[in-house]
Amino acid sequence: MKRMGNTLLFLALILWGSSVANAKINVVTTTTDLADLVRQIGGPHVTVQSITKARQDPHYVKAKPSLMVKLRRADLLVSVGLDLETGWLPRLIRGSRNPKIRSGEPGNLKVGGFIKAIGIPTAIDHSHGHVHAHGNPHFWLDPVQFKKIVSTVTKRLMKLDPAHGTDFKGRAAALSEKLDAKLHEWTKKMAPYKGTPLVSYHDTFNYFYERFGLVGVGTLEIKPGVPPSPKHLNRAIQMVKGNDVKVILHEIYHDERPSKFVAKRTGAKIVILPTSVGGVPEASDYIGLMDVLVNTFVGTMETIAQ
Amino acid sequence: MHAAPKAPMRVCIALSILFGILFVPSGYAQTTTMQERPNTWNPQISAGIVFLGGYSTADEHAHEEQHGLESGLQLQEVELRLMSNVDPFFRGVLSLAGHMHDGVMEVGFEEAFLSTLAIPDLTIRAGKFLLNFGKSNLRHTHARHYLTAPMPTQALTGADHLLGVGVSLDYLLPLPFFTELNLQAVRPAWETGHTDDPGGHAHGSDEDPLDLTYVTHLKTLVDLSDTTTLELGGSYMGNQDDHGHLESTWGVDMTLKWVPLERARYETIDWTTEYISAHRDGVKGDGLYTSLRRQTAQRWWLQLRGAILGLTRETDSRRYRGETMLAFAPSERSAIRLQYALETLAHSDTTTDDHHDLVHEVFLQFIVSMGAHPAHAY
Repeated sequence: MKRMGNTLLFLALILWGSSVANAKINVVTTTTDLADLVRQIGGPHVTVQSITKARQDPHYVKAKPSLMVKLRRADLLVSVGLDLETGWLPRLIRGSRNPKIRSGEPGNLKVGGFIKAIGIPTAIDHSHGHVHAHGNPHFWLDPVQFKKIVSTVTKRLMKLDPAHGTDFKGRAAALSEKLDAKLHEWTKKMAPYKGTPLVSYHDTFNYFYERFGLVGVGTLEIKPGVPPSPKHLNRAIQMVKGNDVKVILHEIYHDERPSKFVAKRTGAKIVILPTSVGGVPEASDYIGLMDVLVNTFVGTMETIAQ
Repeated sequence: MHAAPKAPMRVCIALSILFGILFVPSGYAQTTTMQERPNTWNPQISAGIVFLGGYSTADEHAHEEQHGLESGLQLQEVELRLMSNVDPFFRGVLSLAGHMHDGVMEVGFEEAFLSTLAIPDLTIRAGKFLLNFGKSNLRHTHARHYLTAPMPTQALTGADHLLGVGVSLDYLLPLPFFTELNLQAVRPAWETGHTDDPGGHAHGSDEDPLDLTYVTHLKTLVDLSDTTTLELGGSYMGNQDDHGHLESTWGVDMTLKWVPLERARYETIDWTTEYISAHRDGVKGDGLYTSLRRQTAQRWWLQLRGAILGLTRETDSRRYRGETMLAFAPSERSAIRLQYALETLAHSDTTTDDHHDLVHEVFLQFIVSMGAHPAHAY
C-alpha cells in the first residue's frame, strides 16, 4: 500500500515536472493570419488557435460564450487592433475572466499599433458608417506591413518565454528572409499592372493596392458596413464605367449580389478572393495566401488582356 | 483725410471676417478630431433613445389584467450609460435611465455597480444591477427582442425589469464547454410597473433592509457544430415574505441558434422557449413562451412569439398572447421595428362578452444608440 502511494507520488511528480518543462505558451489570436504568424515564430513552444475562421468576416463576429471558454486559459491574446474587433473582443475578454489577457497586460497584444495605418479619417462621425478611428485595419494584405509585426510578435513571445528567446529570434529571421524573397517575386509579377483601377465591396484591399501600385476607385458599399441601395449601385455602375474598371474584387464572406449586379451591367469581371489564411485550401499559410491573391489577380488580368 | 487711413483697416477687418468664415469650419473640424484622442481618458459613454408609438384596443375596454402597451406616443426608454475600467482591479458601470409612466417621465439610476477584473474565473459585482433571472431580464429595453418582455415573465415576476442592490458572484466553471453559475443576493429595487399589480408585490421602502432576495442562475452553452449552438438555462429566485414563508419563482429555458460562418451578417435563426413558475403570495401560476427569430438579410428580421399564462394551473384565467414583428436595422446603431400583438383572456365563467377579451396592438418603435460601439451580443 505504501509502495503504491510512493509510486503514485512519483508519477505525479513526473507528470508535474514534464508539464512544467513542456509548458507551451497558450496563444489565442483573433484571425487565422495572426495564428499563422505566431505558429511560425513560436514553433513547438506555443499552441495557437484563432477565434475567427478564415471564411468569417472579422468585423461581424458575435461574442459567443464558447469563445470565452477558449480565452479563459490563454497566456497571450494577439489581435489586429485598429478597432477591427471592437464590437466583440472586449466582451469576450471580460467574459473569459482571464486577467492575463486584459488590455494593457503583457498577455494582450494589439499588432495594429505597430504598423503604418492608412485611411485614418480626418473627422469622426458615425454618419460616415462604421469608421475605424485609427485607420483601415486590413493591413495584413500588404506583406511589408505584415513583416513589420514579425518583430513585434517575436518580442512579446520572448517576454513571456525568455528561455526560448533565441529559438523565436531564429525562426523570425528565417520568416523575414522568406517574406523578402517572396515580396520580390510578388512585386515583379504585379509590376505590369501598376495603375490598374479597381473596385471592391468593402475597403478590404486598400493596403494591397498601396503595395502594388493599384488604384482603388471606390467601394460598392455606401459607407463601411452599410449595404448598397439600388441608387448607390447605379452610381457604382457609373463609377466602374467612368474609371474603366475591368475587375471587381470581392471578399469571400460578402453578399455576392451587389458585385454581380454591377458586373452584369458593366462587363467587369468579379474576382472572389480570400482575405485570410485558410480562406481557400491553397492559402494554407500567409505566403500561400499572398500567392493566391497575386496569382488570381495576375491570372484574371491576363485573361482580360487576351 | 479721416477716411483714408481707415480704408486699409476696413479691408483688414473685411478680410479677417472672410478668413474667419472660410477657416472656422475646417478649424472646428480639426478641434473635434483632436478631441477624439484625449477623450480616451473619459469613461466610455453611450446614450440610447427608444421611441414608441401605436394603438392598443385594450384602452377601449379598460382591461384590468392587461399587461401590454399603452396607446399613444411615448419614450419607452432614455438611457445614458458610462462604463470604464477604474483601475487594474475594478470596472465601473453607471446608467441613468428614464421611462415614461402614464405620460410622466421618471428618471433614475437604473444600474450602478463595480465589477472585479483581476480574479481568474470569477466576477464579483456590487451595487445596483439587473437580476439574472430567466432568459430575458438582462436585456435592457432597447436590446429586447420584442417591444415588451415576454408576457409570462412580466406577469409572473411582477416587474418590467427585476433590479436589486446587492452582490453578485459570476463563476465560469472549469469545463470544456461554457457553463456559468451566477449567485446574487440583493435588496429588491424594482417597481412593479403596474398600478393594478394583482399581487400587491410592490417593493417599497417599508421593507426590512435585511429581507434579501436570492437569485441563482446556471447557464450552459454547447457548440453542436461551427454554426449551431444549444443553450440551456435554469434560474431560481427566492425570498421570505412578511410571515416568514418562502416565496419562489423558477424558470428553465432552451435556445437553439444558427449563425452560418460566412454569412453571419446576412442570416441567422434563433429559437427560444422558456417556462416560468411562480409560487408567491398573490402570484401563483406558470407560463410558457416560445419565440422564433429569423434574420433574412443584413438588416431585416422577422419574428414570431407565442405565450400562454396559466399553463398547468390557474385555469380559470388562462391568457394567450401572440406577437409578430418586422424589424429593420439601417445600421448597428439604429432600428425601426413594427409589432402586432393579439392577446386574449379565457374566463371559465362566460358571463363576460368574449369579444371584449380580444386585445389588438399595433406599435412602431425607433431605437438609436449613440457613443461607444454597441457589443455584438450572441
